[in-house]
Amino acid sequence: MNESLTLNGCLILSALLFGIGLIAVFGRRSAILVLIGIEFMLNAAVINFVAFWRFAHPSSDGMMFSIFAIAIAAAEAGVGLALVTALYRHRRSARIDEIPPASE
Amino acid sequence: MNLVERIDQAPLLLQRWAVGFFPAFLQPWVAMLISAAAIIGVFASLFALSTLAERKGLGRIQNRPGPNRVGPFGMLQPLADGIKMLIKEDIVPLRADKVLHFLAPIALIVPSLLVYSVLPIGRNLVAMQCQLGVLLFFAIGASTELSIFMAGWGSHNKYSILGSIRAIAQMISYELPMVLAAITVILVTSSLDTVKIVEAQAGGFWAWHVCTPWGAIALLTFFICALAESNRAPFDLPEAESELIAGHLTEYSGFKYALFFMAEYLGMMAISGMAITLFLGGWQAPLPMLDFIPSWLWFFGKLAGFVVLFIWIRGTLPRLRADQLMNLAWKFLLPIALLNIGLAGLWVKSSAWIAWPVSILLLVPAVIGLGRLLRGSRPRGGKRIYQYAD
Amino acid sequence: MSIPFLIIASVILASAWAAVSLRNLVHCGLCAALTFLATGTLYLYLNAEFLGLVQLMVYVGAVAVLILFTVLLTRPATEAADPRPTQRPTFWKGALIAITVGGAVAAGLAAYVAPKGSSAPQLSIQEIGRLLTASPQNVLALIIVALLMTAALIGALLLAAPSEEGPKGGGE
Repeated sequence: MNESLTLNGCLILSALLFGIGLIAVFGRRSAILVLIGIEFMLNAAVINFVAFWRFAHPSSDGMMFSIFAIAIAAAEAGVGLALVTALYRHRRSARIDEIPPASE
Repeated sequence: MNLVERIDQAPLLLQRWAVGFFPAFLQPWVAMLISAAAIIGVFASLFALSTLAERKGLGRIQNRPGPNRVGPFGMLQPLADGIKMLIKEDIVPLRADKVLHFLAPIALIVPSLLVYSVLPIGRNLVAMQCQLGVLLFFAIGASTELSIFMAGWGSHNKYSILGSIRAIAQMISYELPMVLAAITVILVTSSLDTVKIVEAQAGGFWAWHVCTPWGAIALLTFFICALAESNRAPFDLPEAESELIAGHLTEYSGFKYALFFMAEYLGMMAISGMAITLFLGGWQAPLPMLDFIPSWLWFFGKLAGFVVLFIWIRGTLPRLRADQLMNLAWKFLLPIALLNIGLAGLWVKSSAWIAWPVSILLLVPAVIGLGRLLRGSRPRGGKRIYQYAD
Repeated sequence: MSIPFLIIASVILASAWAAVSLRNLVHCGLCAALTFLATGTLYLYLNAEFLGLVQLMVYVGAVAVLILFTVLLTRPATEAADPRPTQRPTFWKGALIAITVGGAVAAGLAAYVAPKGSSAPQLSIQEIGRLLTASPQNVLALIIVALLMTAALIGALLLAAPSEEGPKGGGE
């Protein structure tokens, strides 16, 4: 019984973390914070996977997917932050509302 | 148990005797507390001894006696240093970020002490035996970079920020060959458990991993990366006095500086301990007949050897420049470490008769070739002409 | 719900909220690092030891450092006196969208009832290694992820490398 409560607790935690990540993506101007928000959302998804693996479906597929998800999230964070650095070099600011459209 | 075994297991027996005084539900917690206190006590005193050894050793290398005022042969110097650090005024810059400035030393000491929990100090003498010991060591060791950033940025000082950027770049560059060198051992023993890795090297020094072709190169790589990870010479650009005042430690004084200092030496000893566990047989004696000497004495003896090696290299080699440092990590150590993993796989799959010649045939040209490639960063121009006064 | 889980969950949520609502970007980055640390601790609590240590090593040791480096390298020339993020209207518009989506997800997940009789799974590292190399699909996935990370590394280097504009230091 305690275990089922912790499973639901983990799921609500991951949903809230996902929401906080969404706030960062939508509500902040700095590109770096958008990337932090994306990382939070990926983390929330992996928490979901791990919670289900631990409590409901203890097959190894959950663990495999989580490992690959963390690897890909790290690679994507690297590329995203390199993009932000390149953007800063051209525009002198890392804010997403000061990026002119590509047609300029 | 006879006397030899009793001395060998003495710390464990002491812990069991002390834990026996407490009620049953408290016993695991008390056992953990005693292990933690023992680790902190032993390695902090080793830190004090190694500062003394460093100052005397460096002094002798530089043709001077080193500290000799405070006690016989300067042996009470660490005590004097400790008192000095404690009573110094703790200056925090006016515009520094107070929270970060305060948290940085703590965030550095905690991981540095935590990694000792997976090192097997002697037979059955590991604070926490877990299946993923080596991974825990490297994962927690990777957290130290954050605190260096906090220290550098929290001080609100250009030199601190520059120093911390250089220090972090150096640490992450050298973390990669270090982990790859450890992976060769994990490949061969197919286990991440430090206790099992030590037990796999039983039977005399010819069974240690250093006596294999991949093991020797891996130990060399690991040692160079250990020098770089703990910001020791010749990789001490981030904290060199002639370059950046004290780098990320510029604005620290008193006990916080002592904590940074202690964390550096603790890191040095922890990585040496891991190198001993992975490559030099941990607490095993080099010859089976020398087994009567307690296992923890062998471990600390090997650790002392490593500390002496660190001090020797500090006194002897000149400092590396920032780009030379980076070139060494990415263009030399990383390809060698990757080649080494292949050689370790070859060792597992074939016999020693094939593996040794093939390894030497592959490694020698690789090392020489990569070294030649690195030399491209030297200034061009003709040969130097030396003119001596007659 | 057990006490350790509640503590870990509150640390995760509090530091995540701090990471998205602080004004100073470096503080945001450090709170993000704390969130990753707490998530790693959560994985360790849930018996996923390998994943917890991988989270600590990758996220805290690499991604957080990357984020902080980028914050350092992209600082604005003047420290603009912006209003605090929680006082900006865009922040609360974003929060509205996020609460709607997050609330919907949470409501869906909270109604889940786990099947009974699942004990704590034991997945040793040797088992993970064996699984990763067992079937051709897993090996293919492993190789594809390796290629993807190599491509990401090269791509990030090319993106962030400075363009050829005058003599840079080094080479001497």
